[in-house]
Amino acid sequence: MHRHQRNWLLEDETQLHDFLNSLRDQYDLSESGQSAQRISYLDTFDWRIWRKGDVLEYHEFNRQKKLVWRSIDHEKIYMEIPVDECPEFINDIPDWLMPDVLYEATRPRAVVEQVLSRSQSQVYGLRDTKGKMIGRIMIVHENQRHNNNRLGSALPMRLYAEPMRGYEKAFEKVKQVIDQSGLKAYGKDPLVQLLRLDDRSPCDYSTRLRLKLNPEQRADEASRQIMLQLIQMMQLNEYGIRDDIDTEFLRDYRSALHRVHSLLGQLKHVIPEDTRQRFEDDLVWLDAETSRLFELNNWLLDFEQYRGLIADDEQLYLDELHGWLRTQRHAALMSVVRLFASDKYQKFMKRWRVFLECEIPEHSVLRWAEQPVHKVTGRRIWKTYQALLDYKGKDLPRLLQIDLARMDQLTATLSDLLTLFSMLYPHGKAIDMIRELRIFSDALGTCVASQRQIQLLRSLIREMKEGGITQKKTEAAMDELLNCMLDHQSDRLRNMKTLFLDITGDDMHKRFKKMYGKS
Amino acid sequence: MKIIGTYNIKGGVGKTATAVNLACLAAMEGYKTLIWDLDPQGAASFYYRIKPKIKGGSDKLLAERNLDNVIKGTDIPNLDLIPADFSYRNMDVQFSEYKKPAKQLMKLLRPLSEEYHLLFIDCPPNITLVSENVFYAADVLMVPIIPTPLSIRTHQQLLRHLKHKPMLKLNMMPFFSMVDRRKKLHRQIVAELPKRYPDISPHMIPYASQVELMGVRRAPLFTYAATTPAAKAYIGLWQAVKQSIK
Repeated sequence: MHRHQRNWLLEDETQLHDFLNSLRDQYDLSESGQSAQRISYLDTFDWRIWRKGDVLEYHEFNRQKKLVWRSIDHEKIYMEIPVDECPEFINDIPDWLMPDVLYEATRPRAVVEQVLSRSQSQVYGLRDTKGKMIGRIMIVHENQRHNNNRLGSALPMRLYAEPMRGYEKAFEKVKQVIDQSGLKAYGKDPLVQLLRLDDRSPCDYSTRLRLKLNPEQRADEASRQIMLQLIQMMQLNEYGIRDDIDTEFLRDYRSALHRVHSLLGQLKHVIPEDTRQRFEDDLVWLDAETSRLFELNNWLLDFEQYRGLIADDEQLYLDELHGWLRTQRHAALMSVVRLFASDKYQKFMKRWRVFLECEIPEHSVLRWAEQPVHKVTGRRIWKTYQALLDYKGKDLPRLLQIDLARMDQLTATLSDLLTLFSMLYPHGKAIDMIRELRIFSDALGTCVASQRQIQLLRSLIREMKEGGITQKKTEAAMDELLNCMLDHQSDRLRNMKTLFLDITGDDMHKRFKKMYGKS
Repeated sequence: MKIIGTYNIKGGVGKTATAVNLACLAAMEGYKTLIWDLDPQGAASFYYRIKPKIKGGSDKLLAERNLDNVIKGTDIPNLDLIPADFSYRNMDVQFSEYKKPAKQLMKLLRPLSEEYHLLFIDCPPNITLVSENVFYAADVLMVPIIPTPLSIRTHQQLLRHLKHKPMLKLNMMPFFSMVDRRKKLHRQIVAELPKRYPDISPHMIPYASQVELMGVRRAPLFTYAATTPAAKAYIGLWQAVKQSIK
């Protein structure tokens, strides 16, 4: 059973005063504490807690520190958890205090401070005629607080009312008094209001692009708009990678990077070739520089799952591999941190932004630059889909063994193009195709990731053996793990055939042709 | 949820005062705390100004297996209470009618674990199936001992009883309670007994009139005498309990 609270808006001190007097007429109202709290509103960088319908607050007052886990708009307080310090991850909270649901919602993501406030509250106890406390009301003044500790704008004053457990019925009358006083419901959650003061809103981080493209817009203009947003997305994720907040930052960074790359590959005769080629080279360089950290992150995230593949009595011997992976990951992270600080990287970002932000020439000599964007993209999508169709009727599992990367690149390009330009086509139609393509693309992505992890494991085994830092039993466990992973990979590749037929079947072919084949 | 029982075969040793004060301290630290007054005398309910009565008695409670409807809020934020009821005196008979009679309490408490961090059980002074249930459910069993021969004798009885229950992985925390240092006997026992029973906690609760006043004030010690030596002793004891459950 959760605690239920309701909250109302108090317009000014006069209204508060009148309201307290009306309560005093019927109840024994006693002041039972005042507190000034510093509140950090926490969520994962991609707002997983908010998306679940909840809010997580970290309160500090006097020497007490606690987490308050509640529903949006304060309807329910699920739990208040005393903590020693603000947790970085939910599983930093001791097991016996940690709510599993919250852990499931956030793991393995860190919780970061989204917004900061300072609140002052006055609590009153309400006693009935027999002297029994039946509930509490709380008057809260909350201010935005800046990082330099300065207080910012104030939120409207609010009133919380909460019955004591077991006295809900008696408390209904208090609610009636509140309603009769003409108090209005509080409205938006304080978190929303605090973010709004900074021109932000919950879930303001999203990997989804916020673009409004016009089908008749020039191709060079539209492509620059998209690439600019993708570059901004990469920059937005840099701090999370640098501070090692969460592995998702690098995932999103690389996802944006790959999307720019996919798009660039399709922009021949849309942007100047020498510029396009230079950026493409830079992106290949960036991909290579960040891939080791990415692969090691994935390895560590999946480590326990992989460990489970081998016999129970051998699992223990993989601890050495785990330690090695962690060391290697730290080195890879430092290398990426150095990369971000390097002149080469800074120049690359600057050059990109200058190019993408500058005004496009009124007329271009490039063949496709001035063409409507829907025509250019439709043509590219159709060509890419046809390239995928070349695999039809062939021995797919065998082909994939040989050229998994090419198939992955084609599918990713097609998926990226469909996604980036979906708003140019009739609503819903592209979405269905993207969904179906994504099932194949995700399965293929798993195969590629697994293949990379196999390759990485091979090289790690070699490095560890050459370094003479493995024991015989560890070597045997790693070899067994490698064999298990290879078996699983073969199974995965066999299953790809059915999924491939789904996206290259007659029905899908017709849909692609109808939408993009006429461009 | 961690479960802390306060138990002794002997009555009047400070079980209820310990449960009431430690639960209050836990709640004041922000732990969502519940106290179950399992003693039909209803002293813990009395201290927290809650009527020692539950609708339908223990019969209904065990049949429906739903504690939600009987929990009452106390004046202390974060602290709720399951009141005592006179029908609890028959609880051991009721437990014996179920399969695995010694684990019924544990089953009954399971749904509360999502809502509460800590549960204090104030046990009645006897050794019955109810106490056996508490032994199985509790993460820590706090045993107050008055430094008198009779109290030591009952503690020895308890230890002998538990010796025959090797399946119980009980974390027992005996401690001296109502210690009156003016009395030579108390001073001697407090000095000598821990040599024989090293498990006895170094934290001891002094005899204090402020603790007795709890019955007059009908409130835990920390609401009216938070800085007294007795209150400080409870704080020390609570820190030790916290260490043992973490």
